Amino acid sequence: MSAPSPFAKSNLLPTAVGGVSGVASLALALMGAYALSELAQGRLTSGAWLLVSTLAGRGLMSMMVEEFSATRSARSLRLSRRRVPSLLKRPRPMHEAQSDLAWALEQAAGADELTRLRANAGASMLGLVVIFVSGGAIAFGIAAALLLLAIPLYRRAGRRSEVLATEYQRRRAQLEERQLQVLRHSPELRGLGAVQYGAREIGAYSDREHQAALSAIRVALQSSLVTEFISGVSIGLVAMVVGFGLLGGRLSLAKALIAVFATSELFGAIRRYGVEFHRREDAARAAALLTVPPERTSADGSALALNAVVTFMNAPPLTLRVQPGDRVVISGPSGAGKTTLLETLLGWREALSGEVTRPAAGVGVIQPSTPVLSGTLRENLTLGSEIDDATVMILLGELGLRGERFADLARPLLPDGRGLSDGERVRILLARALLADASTLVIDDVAGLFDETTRELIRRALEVRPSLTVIEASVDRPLLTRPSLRVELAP
Amino acid sequence: MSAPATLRRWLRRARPSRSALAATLTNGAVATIANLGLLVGAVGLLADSATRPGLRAVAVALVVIELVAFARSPLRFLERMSAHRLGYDAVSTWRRWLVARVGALDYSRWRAYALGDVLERSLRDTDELQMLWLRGVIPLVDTAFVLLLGDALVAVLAPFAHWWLVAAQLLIIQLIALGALWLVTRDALRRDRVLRRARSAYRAELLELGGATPALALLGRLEHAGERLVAPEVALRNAESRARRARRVGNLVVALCGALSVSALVDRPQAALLWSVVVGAYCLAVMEALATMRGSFEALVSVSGGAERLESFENFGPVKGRAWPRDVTLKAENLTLVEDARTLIEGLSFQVDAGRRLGVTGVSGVGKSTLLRALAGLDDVARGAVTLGDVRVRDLDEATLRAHVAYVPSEPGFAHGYALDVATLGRGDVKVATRLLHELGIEVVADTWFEELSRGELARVALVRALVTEPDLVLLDEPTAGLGADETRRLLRLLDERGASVVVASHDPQVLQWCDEVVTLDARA
Repeated sequence: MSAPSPFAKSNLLPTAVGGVSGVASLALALMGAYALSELAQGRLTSGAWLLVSTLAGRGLMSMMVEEFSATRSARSLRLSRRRVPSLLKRPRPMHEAQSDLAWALEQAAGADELTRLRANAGASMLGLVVIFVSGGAIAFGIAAALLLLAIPLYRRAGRRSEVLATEYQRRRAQLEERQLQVLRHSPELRGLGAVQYGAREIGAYSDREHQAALSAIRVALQSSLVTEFISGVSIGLVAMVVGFGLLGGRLSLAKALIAVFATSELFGAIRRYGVEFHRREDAARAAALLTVPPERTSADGSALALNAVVTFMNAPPLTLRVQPGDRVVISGPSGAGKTTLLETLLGWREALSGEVTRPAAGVGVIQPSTPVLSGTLRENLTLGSEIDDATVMILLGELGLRGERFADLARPLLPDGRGLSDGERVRILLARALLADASTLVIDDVAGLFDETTRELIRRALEVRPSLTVIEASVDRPLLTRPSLRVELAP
Repeated sequence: MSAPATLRRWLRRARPSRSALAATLTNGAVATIANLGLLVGAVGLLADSATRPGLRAVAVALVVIELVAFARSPLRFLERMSAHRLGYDAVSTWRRWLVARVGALDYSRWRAYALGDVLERSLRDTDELQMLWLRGVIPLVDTAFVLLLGDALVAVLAPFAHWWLVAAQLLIIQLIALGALWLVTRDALRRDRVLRRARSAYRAELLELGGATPALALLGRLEHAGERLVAPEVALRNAESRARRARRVGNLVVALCGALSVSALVDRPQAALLWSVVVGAYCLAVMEALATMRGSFEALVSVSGGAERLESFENFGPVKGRAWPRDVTLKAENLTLVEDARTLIEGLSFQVDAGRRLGVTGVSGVGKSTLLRALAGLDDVARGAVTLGDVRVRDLDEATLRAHVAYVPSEPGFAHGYALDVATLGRGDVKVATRLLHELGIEVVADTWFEELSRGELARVALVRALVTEPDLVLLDEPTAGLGADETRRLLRLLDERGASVVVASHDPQVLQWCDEVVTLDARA
């Protein structure tokens, strides 16, 4: 990823702050050098005061810069958090789970920091002029030559560490996914006596991740060592040159100290940028997580159609045109790709080829895995819109959700649907869709969650709503007994 | 438990070898000394050169400084690498600990954790703990050591009688700085807890919405997701700005105390010039060191939150349970099961003799899964008892119990990876697993990789995984969901051949017909 221009409009402020703070810290370094030379010449009081002011100035400046960065990142965090709902529109695959989203939000907030450090490093180049004026041509030549040497070396090492960092990210994602799987299935593993197996496996994944991390760190350190080493050498050599100048009486102590301090400041700023430079990768990954991929499914009007759609490798192309009020059953043995087909229809998966058209809104999705929201039963059913309780209660009764647990709409529900059976949870999702005036229902194999009486109730509820389009996937016992259209998927 | 005590426990839980720790600390101290020494030495040399001490002395000093400058970077490198290695070893140990502890939790407690993002967070928490060594303990110890050394050197080199005055003065200022930082840290700790709560509330909402929003968007109710995020976001923003304020105070303390240490110089007219200059440079270095210590304290604060959260997984189960009984008749006696303060099952009794098959059915939500978990000893019962022979299931030794009883939940998972690993989970015979899979119509070879199994395939693999250890008792929750009639028949035939006792919860008439006996659970309003 190429960094955006430091002079782009949104980057002007961090660039300016970086530049000004770069110049200011150079000035402070000069002041410190002058203070030391005052001390060395026996002017203790003025030297001490100068030194105190330098220290205070440094502290003040770093606080101001930190304050600036914090305010900026708080602002950009606020802006990006506002975009979250649209980022969640489509289900995210496991490896970019929602906590990754929270991570990405925080990472993206630090993007300004890189711009500032870059400007800071740029401004510190002024140090070269200072070295020339105070330390003479030789000191300048040494600092400049070593700086020119450092940059290409640093770039090369940076490229290597990027490659390794990618490998590390891959293993890290594997570990994260695996550990979450182990923890999420830990009652199952316990029930099979396989907890220790899980622990051993995570230990192994963790070691593998650490090996990759260590080699990435080694290279990253080596690359930053290049600048650290060269900066050390540079300070040493400049100190030697000005030292001889002092001995020969060609230089005053103040000038000598200024040359040394300016050299140290020059490389310090470059190093700080170099350290953060590696975060570029994280920033790029975060930016990718925060962009909504364009949807290729066209969502217009109320039409629902598949045109020669292939959902997975070797599947025959499928063409399907669903009219309003149609009842479609998609059947096939387990593994035939029923859920994949439904999710393609909903725009949650990309079709391998072909065209998908679906209604822009008013589609109710009922999957066995769809969770309810934490909040009241009412909130779950009305989703914040104004619907009177009587209407809600009648619908609940129609779907067989009766009894004390459904009498009080203010009753809190928990996101995992605790206290509800799967069948009840799915019926709440169905009620929610009907209350939101959905024109289309997409039902993914939920019939098995109901007993015969409930199944009959739901069948009737669908029958008395003839304008509703229903698409149901099922292995062998669909809710729709008289479909208007039937799609058979081969295993 | 207090934060320092928690952190000490975590340090003990993955204690590195003494030699590794000593090497890391030494590397760190040497690197820090080289770093500070380079600046102080260079300045001292320059100041001394102004007095024209002769070429030889300057040349020697120059060579020393050059050597330090060359050595500084490799020293830093060694320090970082050894600290990282130490941290990583600890993290692996902590991760294994976490999995084992979560695996020993009772179901109801586990579910309470699984609800929020506690499990998700736990990965990052163990990761963050790495900073305990890397950014916390090691730099703190090293910097403190180097500061003491520096104070002592300054005092010893002081060219006047009351050298201890200078040392005491520097020491007192540094102690004041440490004390102030400690106070700031305590305050930061409180604010950090608030921030963490706000952050985890926000993450939990994100997590929840992550599952629910796609369906909401299709219904045309995306704005509802936005509305739900407002309150946690405002709380998080406020907590963040308060935590930032604590940081500001820390910065102020470092700047003030760094500036104060210059006072060691003031009013010593008889002091030599060189000494004054060196001490001046040392004061600059002290400020850097204090900033490092502030950073360490911050790292400890941020680590302690995760450590405390992970601490909640610590559980002390029965030390040694009873041995496997000879009689394996499964009995439920007057069993009452309660979930979320709702009584699901009351006064239920039944008996399953060895090799017999019991079906459990009833409308959804009646408590079939809860009953199976109680039979598997995965959760406690409210009243009554589940026994095998004459031993209560919960009194049995955990490892023995799991070796003889296999439980398959209604939504099995953990089926991603090499097929034979998935089908054995490190227990049982690979050949047996291959044969059982074959009998259920799933063909695998040594390097078959399971990526995304369909529900029906998952059901079959889960059954094989349960049978591969030849258990005496198999507890199955809706094992035929997602299977067609033919596949169900094959599955039942396979169970028939094993001869183990079976308790199966199901709606499927085909399965219930196969059972010797069926218990129908009544819905309680």
